[in-house]
Amino acid sequence: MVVIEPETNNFRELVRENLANEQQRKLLGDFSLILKALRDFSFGEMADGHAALQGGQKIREYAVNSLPYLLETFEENATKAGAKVIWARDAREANAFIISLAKEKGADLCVKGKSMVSEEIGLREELIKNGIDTYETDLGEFIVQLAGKRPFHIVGPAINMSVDEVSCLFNQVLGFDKTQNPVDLTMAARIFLRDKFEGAQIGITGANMAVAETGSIILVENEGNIRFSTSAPETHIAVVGIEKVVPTLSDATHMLKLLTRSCTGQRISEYVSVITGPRKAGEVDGPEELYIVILDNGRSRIYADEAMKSALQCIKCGLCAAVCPVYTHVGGYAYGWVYSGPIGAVLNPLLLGLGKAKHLYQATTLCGACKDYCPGGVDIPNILLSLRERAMAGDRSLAADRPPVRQKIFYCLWTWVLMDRLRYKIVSKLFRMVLRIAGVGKLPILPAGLSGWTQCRNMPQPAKKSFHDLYAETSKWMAL
Amino acid sequence: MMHSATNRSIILNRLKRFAVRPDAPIESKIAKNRVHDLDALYSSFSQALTANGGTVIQVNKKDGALESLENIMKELDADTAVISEDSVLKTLGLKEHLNTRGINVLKGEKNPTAHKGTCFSADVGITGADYALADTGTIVIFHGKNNARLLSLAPPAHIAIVEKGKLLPDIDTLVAEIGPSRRDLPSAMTLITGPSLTADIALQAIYGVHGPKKLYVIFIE
Repeated sequence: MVVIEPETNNFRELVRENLANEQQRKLLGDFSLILKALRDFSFGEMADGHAALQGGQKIREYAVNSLPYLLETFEENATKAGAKVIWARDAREANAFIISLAKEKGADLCVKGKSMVSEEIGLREELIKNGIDTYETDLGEFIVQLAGKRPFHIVGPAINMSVDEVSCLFNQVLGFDKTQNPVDLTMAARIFLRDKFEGAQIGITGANMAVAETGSIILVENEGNIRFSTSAPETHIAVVGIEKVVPTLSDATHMLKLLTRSCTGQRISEYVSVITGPRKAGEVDGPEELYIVILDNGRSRIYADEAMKSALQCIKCGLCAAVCPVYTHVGGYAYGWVYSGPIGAVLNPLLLGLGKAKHLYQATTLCGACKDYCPGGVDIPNILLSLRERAMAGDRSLAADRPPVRQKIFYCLWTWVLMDRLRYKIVSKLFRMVLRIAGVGKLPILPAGLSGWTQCRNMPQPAKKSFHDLYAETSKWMAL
Repeated sequence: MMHSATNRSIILNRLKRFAVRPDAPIESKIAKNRVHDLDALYSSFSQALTANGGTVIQVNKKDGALESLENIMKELDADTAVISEDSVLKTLGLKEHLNTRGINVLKGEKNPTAHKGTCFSADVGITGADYALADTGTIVIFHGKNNARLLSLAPPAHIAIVEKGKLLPDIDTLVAEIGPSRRDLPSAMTLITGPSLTADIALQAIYGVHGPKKLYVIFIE
């Protein structure tokens, strides 16, 4: 189902590597501070920012609850406006459709807007593999493509790279002169991509929202590359996850206010495109054909699971990453796949299968900052807890690994010990004795088999007296 | 081979087992019509767009608009322009006027490839706007036969000439305004709030990454 090999199970190695990057850690600290301040200011400007946030969470909850019905209405209205709606069950189907369409059109040049879902299905790589020259046109994503990396953050895919790194990259790959001025680098990208916009036969984008009421898709951006991709080529293909639909235009504008404020702290982005069908008769630009590919790719499986369902309320603003104590230390690469930050710790395991992303949902503090800030109302901390529970239970419906036999035996024994007071007393006494003897030195590390527990923390010395002992003594004393 | 129709029913049926049918009609909530003071809206618009890197100018009538347009063209050192078929621009006699001032107004092309060529080569794109939103400093363009999309995008500068009466308080009033004719939304409606912007390299804000480096909005009283 997944085209690019995820590295989600290399979490430990990736974390170690990324924590050692001092420059990146400093940037993450700044990024988090700046974004939080901008975000808080922009919400503070609203008549009632808190009510607006809650309103948005309600809209997303309602939209997800009525998802299939809204999708039907969306399809009906989009079709009426002249768009062609295509349904794809997984990455392979979506990619195959788009590639065969591109070939049918005789296309050899394609421009892309930044889209997480196309990243998820590996669309760019597939197009290139099939001989269709494809360029990411969002500046950050363009840099990511040239560098052959993954997005570092949902909204700012290359924010971790220094001016020098980008300069070297542009010099090596595009042959531009080296410079320390980010303006020159930006203009270099402008010059390089301008011909592509003019010449491309196909423009590919995602969609921030699909509006059931009108059959429109809404695209939010600052650079104008999405406007080019949806205006210049003769064919526009929008890949839209099933969860992107909202009921009405007024719901969409409400979400828009929250989205831009949460993404970048802007009241509104520089450009918002509301696209309803392809160009009409007499229009000289805009695509002749608009294809909207509605993609499932594992989302209906998430939908069927009550504990996980709210993950689909995410609007991909990326704010949870900026407020997360884990992300702001380890950065985006550590998440090993397309989605990063707290929502990545939820979506990567859910979309790839729990067994393929074992560490992500464990490596969280459960502080709940992500939930407090989330404009979509995703209950990330509770989903993380449920993921841990399902992984423990070896839930096959989420493709969790079978838990190791040793672990099973251990927990059976542990339960058996806890079931009886006397057993508990004897075993805990024994355990304390062993620990005390073994730990005459300072920090006992648990022996093989249990050493995982002490890999990242010390095993504390047991107290001289157990709680039960103390309780018994105190009771005696109280009785006096 | 993929069968979109089969996929459609598979996906929808799977979802419907866990979904709730919408309990309200799928219709936008329409904001109440508020009485608004155009001068207050203008000042809010001007403040918001200026903060976002745009330039806002208010002029009296036709002559003022043409004069300030000329000044901008001089400032930009622009030789060529593409202009939309917006009725405001027609009333101003913009094309004729610019031609007499030595600015080459490129011919509007009917062929998409030729049209792209002119838009990508012009120094300035001049358009009208269907609405202007005061609280964000946004202009709203309904693209269509008379308002091609690339005019306000491909040239390195965009000048919009807007009647002051097109000002609305915010995006909610816009939804209310276009509400009754929602089914007839244009193929593309674009909300523009400043020049093209990026902060993708080292978080530094830079204008003009792909689209216009400069945006001017001229309001006619």
